[in-house]
Amino acid sequence: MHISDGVLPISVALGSGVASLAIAAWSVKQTANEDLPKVAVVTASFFVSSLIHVPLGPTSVHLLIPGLVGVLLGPAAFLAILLGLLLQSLLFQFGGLTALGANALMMGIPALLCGLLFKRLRGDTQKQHVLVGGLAGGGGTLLAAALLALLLASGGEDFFGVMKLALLAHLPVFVVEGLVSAFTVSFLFRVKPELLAQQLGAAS
Amino acid sequence: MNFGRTCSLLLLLSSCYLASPVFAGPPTPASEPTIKQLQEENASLRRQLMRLQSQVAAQREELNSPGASQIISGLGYIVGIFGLAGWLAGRKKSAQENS
Repeated sequence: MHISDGVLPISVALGSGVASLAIAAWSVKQTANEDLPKVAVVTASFFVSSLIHVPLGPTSVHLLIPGLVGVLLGPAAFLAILLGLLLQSLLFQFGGLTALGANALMMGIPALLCGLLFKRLRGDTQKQHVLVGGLAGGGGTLLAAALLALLLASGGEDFFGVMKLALLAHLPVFVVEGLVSAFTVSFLFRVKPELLAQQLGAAS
Repeated sequence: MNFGRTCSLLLLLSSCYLASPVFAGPPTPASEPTIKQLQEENASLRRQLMRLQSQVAAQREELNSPGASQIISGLGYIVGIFGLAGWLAGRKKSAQENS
């Protein structure tokens, strides 16, 4: 689920580029120095997770994990996603450099929203953590698909047609990502629950 | 001597030509099995071609998917960028503590 070069009109590409730069600057400010190693690890996971393909009939779709990145990083998630997408487009030829801003918005905004959702609703019990984590993981991809349809609609595509296609193609991805997020959150809750606090540095 | 060798060479060439399928002569009832053979050959060639095409497609897909070097270099970039950021932040912090 990447937008390629030349699909979006120039005004949309430029506007989303500026918007994503502004959000990235805010995201950098929100990131405490103590969080940098954690952000780096999650960025690396995000970067590599796009190589994990889920076979689906004749084609295959790959994991995106914007929801999980948001759950783990909170406000710093946008920075991680922008950097991961930049490296993906440079090294893997996923998406294009001119569409980088649009791609970052498409994945970064769901990540921020899912991070907020998780922070608000995670509660104290492991059960609730896992439930909300899984919901955020699946919901992040769902939101990303909706944003993809919205961005493509600005390029003259039929919004509902694209939306339907993107949702159908990523149906297994929603499920898989929800499971991956739920598993990760449950593991971290048992092993290192302080990692789920999103901002380590802000607390100290 | 020379003439004789040329003659024998010509004879050899002409016999080759006559034996070649190009000079199969006018179509006779006896040529029906050769058509069948040709069809069989055609079918087997088509099978081989299809196999080659699928191999080419698989190869192309393999070329498009990033290799280990790209993945490792990407991870190296991430570690490097965040390492640099952490180092700068730490330097700033220690400078503040010293002053």
